[in-house]
Amino acid sequence: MRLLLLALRNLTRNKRRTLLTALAIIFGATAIVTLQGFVNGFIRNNVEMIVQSKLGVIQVFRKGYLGSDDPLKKSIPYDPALIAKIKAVPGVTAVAPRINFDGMVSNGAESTMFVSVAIDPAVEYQVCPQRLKRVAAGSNPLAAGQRGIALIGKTLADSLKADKGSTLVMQAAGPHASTNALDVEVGGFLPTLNLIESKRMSTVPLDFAQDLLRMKGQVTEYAIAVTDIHQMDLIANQMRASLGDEFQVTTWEELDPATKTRVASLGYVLLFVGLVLFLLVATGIINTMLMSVYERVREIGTMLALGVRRWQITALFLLEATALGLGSSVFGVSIGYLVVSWLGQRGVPMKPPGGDVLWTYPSVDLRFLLIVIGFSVTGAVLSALYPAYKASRLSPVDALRAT
Amino acid sequence: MLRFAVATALMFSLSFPSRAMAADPTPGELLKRYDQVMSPRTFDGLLVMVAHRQDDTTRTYKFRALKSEDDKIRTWFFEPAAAKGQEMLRVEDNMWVYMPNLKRSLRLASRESFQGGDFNNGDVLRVNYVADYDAKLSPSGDDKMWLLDLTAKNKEAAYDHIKLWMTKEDQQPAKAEYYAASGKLLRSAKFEDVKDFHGLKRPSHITMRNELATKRYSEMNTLDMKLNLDIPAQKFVLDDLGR
Repeated sequence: MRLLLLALRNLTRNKRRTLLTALAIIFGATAIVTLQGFVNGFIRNNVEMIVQSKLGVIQVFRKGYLGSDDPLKKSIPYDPALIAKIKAVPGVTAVAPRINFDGMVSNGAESTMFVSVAIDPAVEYQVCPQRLKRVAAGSNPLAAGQRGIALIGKTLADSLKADKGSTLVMQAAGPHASTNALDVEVGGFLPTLNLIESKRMSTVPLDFAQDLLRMKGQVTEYAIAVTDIHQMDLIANQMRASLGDEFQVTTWEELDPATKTRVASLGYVLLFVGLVLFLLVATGIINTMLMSVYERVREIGTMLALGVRRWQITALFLLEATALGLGSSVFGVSIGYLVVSWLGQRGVPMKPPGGDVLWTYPSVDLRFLLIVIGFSVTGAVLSALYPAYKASRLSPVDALRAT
Repeated sequence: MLRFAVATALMFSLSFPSRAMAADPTPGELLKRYDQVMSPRTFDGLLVMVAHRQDDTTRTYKFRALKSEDDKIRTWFFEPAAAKGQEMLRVEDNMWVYMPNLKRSLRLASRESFQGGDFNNGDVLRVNYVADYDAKLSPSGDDKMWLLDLTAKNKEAAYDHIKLWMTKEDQQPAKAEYYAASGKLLRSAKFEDVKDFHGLKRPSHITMRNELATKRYSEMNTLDMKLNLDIPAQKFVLDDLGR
């Protein structure tokens, strides 16, 4: 206890030096916490954008659908018994049928390609709640009971000079070789998240797609929401066992490896930045501690001469480093936490190239704060090991004689 | 007695003009005739397609088309530079395009547009109306024309429904309208400029209009068409593409 007091008092002896070292640690901790906050925000945006507004957590296809030359030939019946079977898997909260297809859309004079996802508005939003928000300002999401209405990308609409309420013709072929065509009313626009989507994407009601593609009672996939996304691999495995060989069960990570990689690479970036900061802070501490050892050679000699044990000398320096690391990292982490919380409340507008503004909400969990503190303290102690060892190895006689 | 019989027969034929046209072709015969004209048993043709696009530009595709005895078709593209070296092959319901830059063949669907024009791949590579459609005669409202109503009889047919006008005089296709299952008019075609290709008279100029995007249309001109050839089966094998 006395050692601890002594260590604390030693820290206040050269206030400027302590402050500079502390600032380095504080800066490092604040920076890493804020960065993590942003990374979490990005990851959530990415995962939300993919999982909650597009894919759903788990998907069920007919085996061979993915990668098929003619995927519409690999459809699944829209069968209440099958849906019930999927819902019976523990952890599943909702099931939504869909058809993915593409074709040509024209305004009478001109035509262009489109890609479409057909949804059943009655159940879709239970699986992808964010899809409700996935409309341009002033547009409404598709609602149950609407027929022959489509939400289309703004660029697609512009290229066909179509406005809300315009009638376009969608042409597509289902499992047949021949093309079918149906009138569709532009019910609104999809948000511009990126140029390709805005230029090609559309959302239509499921029954419209079934008419157009002549796929009555057929869908291409079931999208599935689960209670806990972290359990998705487990739930997917149970579903595979329950549905059998005829179907292919995938998770969003398998369907969108690009997003998975992006999320993972953000983690690596964070790790790298953290490592650099850690090294910077560590060299700062080593320097401070070595300085204080050299400054206090005579003092150490006196202490040793008075009978202070060598391990106590080591402990003294380690305690100084611990106190410095702990104090400043707690302070730095707190600042970082405040910054992240404030930004998380407010949101940070980001504008992806060619897209609408996307709000990012940084957030950070307490566990990460503790990890940062833990690393800072460990780092400080490790950095102090050598100086402390050096101090404890001094011979009292030489030390007393030193100038 | 004989006189009487002839007279009766004459009277009969006069009083029932329709009987006089007992030589009228059946819808099935007309359809067969269409196939014979538009896609002879075997041929080696040189064709040019001009695609008029919605931005008012045109693109000209020159290609050779070869048809085998057993209804396989292969094409080679010479123009434009972007399509040079491309080849297509249809065997039964399968179609491929060979991309020289990829050195690889990709699958095609018969409903996809033929080189971005207004003919689809099926229109060019799969002309076998007898196999794909049931025909019925309808009143054409024009006494120089037959009007055939064609209805798809299998899932491989390129259209759900076709109205095909053929001239009564020489049984050449004159125009056609192509419909979707919903009843929407998708495309319309005009067959003009009948020429004699080594003994086969057929329209040498077809204009295909995209009725859903009326700024677009494509013209197909037959420059030459040799007939009744002995073409090695080797030419119609996927592995031969690009060779």
